Amino acid sequence: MWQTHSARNRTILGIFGVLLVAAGVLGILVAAGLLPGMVDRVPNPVAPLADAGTRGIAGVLAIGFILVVVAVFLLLSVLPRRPRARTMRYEGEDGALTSLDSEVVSRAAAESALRHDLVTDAQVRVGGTTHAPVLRARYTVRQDAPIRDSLGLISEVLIPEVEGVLGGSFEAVHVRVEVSTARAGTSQEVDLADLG
Amino acid sequence: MRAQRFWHVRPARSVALGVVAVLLGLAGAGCVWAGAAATRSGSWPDPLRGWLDRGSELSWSDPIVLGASIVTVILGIVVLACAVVPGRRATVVIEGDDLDAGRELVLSMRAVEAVISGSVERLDGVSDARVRFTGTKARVRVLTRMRETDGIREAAEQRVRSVLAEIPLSAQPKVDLRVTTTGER
Repeated sequence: MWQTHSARNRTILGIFGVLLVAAGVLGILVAAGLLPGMVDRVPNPVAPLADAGTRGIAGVLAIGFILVVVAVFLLLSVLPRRPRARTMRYEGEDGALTSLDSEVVSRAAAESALRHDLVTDAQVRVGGTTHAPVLRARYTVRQDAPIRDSLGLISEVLIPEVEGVLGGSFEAVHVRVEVSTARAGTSQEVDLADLG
Repeated sequence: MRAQRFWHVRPARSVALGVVAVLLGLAGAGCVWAGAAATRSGSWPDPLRGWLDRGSELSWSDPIVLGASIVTVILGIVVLACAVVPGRRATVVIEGDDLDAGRELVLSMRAVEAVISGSVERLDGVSDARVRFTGTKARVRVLTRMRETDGIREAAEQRVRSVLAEIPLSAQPKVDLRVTTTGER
């Protein structure tokens, strides 16, 4: 279960796209002579680099470092992240504090879901805060079972089970349901030798 | 504050941005390598020296400059398209989804496709069923060995509609069903 950053990725791509288009259009206008006077006024940017002078080398090194830093930042930004696990802290009536690792709750919730016949796979992640817990879950259900039954199980049994453990309702619930695409095998294995 | 969606989102364009990042990284690494080599030897390494010599002789009116500019514009448009075109969601919202109440309930498109194809394939005479579901439309392609396809078409369409009616989608999609006899494709 991974979290991507659609808006940020698209904004960065948009900035790069606009810069490339602007540079290209400017190049076309100058090369086609549509900006009178620019051809003579703008010097060839490659010419100062050709003789490998100190300033040229320093410039290339600086540009190289900047590009590498930007590339590393972009790659880190692109990588999807898992929603963070939290330690939930509850105060009892006697003032005693109880800590509950949300990772443990998530694992227990997934294992509990798998005990139901309709569920073939479950990935559960409990996050948020103690007072505003958030559930993110992906349940895979059997293809041959009525989908309404599976959805009912998730809404009426699985989610309340986790809420029961946390002692309160989720602030937000994000549930995705998949259907198992594995074909059902035969109900019984029969050895050819047994038929003879 | 209204909760944000976690599952029912547009594609994040991670691959496109990853490609841009890798290309930038390669260009940057090339610059650093060339700069380091030039610092040691006092001249640019090959083949960069040849490219710079050729580039320093170019004028703005050279066709190569025009060509490179056109390529840059095309690349820019492709990158912009990646940023702007929304792309197809991988999920469909189902009944009970209420973001204001902090409840996001979605079914994957593949799940709907699997349920429809599995159900249609159980019909007599159907050898294969391929489904493409977009959220508003279910395109079903049924393959059969039977020459007379009217009965199969009717049964398959009825089955698809009943399966879709069972799924608590927020809006009922259109059905586009085509039956093909094996060997006629």
